Amino acid sequence: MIRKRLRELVLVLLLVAVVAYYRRREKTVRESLTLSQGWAADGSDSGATPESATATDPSALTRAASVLDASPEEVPERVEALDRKVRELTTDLEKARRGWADRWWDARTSEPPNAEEAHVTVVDLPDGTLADAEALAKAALDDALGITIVTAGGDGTLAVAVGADVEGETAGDVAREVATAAGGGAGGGPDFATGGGEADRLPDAAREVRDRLADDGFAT
Amino acid sequence: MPNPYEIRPVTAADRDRWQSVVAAHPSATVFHTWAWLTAVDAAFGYDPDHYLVYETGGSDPVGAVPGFSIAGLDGRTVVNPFCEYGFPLLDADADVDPVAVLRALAADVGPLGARVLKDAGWTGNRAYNAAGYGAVRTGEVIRLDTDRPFEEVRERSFTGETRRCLRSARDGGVTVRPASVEEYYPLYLATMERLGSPQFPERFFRDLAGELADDLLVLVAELGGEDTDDDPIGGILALDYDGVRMIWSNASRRDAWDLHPNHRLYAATIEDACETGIEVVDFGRSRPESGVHDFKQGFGGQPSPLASFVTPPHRSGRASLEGYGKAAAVAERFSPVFTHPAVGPRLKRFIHE
Repeated sequence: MIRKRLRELVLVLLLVAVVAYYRRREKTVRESLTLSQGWAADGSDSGATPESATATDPSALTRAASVLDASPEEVPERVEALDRKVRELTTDLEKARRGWADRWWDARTSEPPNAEEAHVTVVDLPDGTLADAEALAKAALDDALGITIVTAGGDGTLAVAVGADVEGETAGDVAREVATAAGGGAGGGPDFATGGGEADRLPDAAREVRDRLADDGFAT
Repeated sequence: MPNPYEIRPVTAADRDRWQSVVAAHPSATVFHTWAWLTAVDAAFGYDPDHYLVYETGGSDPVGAVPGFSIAGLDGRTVVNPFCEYGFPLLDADADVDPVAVLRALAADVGPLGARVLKDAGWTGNRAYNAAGYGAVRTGEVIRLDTDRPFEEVRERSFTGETRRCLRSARDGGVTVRPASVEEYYPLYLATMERLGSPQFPERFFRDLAGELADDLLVLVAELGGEDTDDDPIGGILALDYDGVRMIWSNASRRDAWDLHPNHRLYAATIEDACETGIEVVDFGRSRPESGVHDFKQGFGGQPSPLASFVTPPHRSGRASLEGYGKAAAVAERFSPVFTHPAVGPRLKRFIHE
């Protein structure tokens, strides 16, 4: 009787051990195949991408802050400001490009000044600034017998260049004459001067001075 | 349907065939080379179980699979031991079907056997599941692109903290110089004793140095340059193959950690790689979120998952490293036993990781 019970006990223990083994085995198979299945499906997390194409490291923020001369906390704000600036510059560049093209075409289709006699030229830059007017006037200094008046509507300024062989007129006087007529003032030397006035009135003031100079014998 | 491929055991006479398959494969690692397999064989005496893959009836191999048969209490396991990579190299030009090859390998393991193939995400091998292999995640490797000037690597890839540690090491007088495996081994042994981890026999290091020659790099860190009589405070051992440098072993004295010798050694290894045409430095396996892994991440690079693929899948536990992790917690207490010269190398033979 006892032997029979013992035999039954051994068989039960054996059965429990077998069940436990197969349950564990089934769990191992399920988990390991799930993992290998995930590996087969996962092409993106392979790490195969070269580092140079995806480099990110914690020191990047610090380096960016150093370049911007700011603290790491200020980096987002500085980047936003830079982004705004880039957009503004891009817009300005586009305007300048259009203006340059228009003026190049105007120059291409207009009569050139007579280089043999004294003459006066008026240039109006509706969106231009003092820097634009100065640049153009300085270029016009090469015209030895010319008086060049450049008005810039962007900031209500003007620049005047008077060639080396022009007699009886100075850049400072011409600039003051234009600026005064436009409600402003000017200053400068005999060959180059700058000034400012009301932006809306400057083109007309420049044309009035041109007409006065024409009456004095300057070709237009 | 019969398998279109057959696998043939490799003998010493197949050395040239093996080397030609390895040399032609773009993903081959130093752990696939004849030199590595020879050193393992000589130092541990495992039964070599490498295979060359042929199209059935063919005469030119289209693949190579490294492995050693290691006996265990529950049967033999075929694995490429002591390394991160042991995946099959299959000839891409021959348009080999990887699933069929893996099935041929699975059919060879015997009633109580298992085959473990160690692979990484960067290889792009994806056929294991289709061939019925289970998987065990074993950690992560980090691989750093060194095909650029070292200054660029340092500035673009190293973290600020790592650069700070490097400056600290330099200011502390830590210098690095090339060394031999004989100089490195005492450092390695001291580290194993500290961790309570069974050590490689010194012979294995010497055999590796003999087989790999100039492709084995040992650097040691010391205080005060070559003129000092002080012992080195750290060392690193790296294996080069086909433009990839594998950092395989690193050791340092705990009492010198404030001087960051390991940072200095890693940086020197990377700098040397940049200057000698090595394209990638592989930092080797570590467990994500561990201190060692965090240390490696400080040098930049791209992480890639590691997994061991096992057939049959119900024996996947043989590739798991969890047991070693748990044992590490108590191993330090038994360090004098586990790292005894008469015990450690013998235990290492069974641990094979």
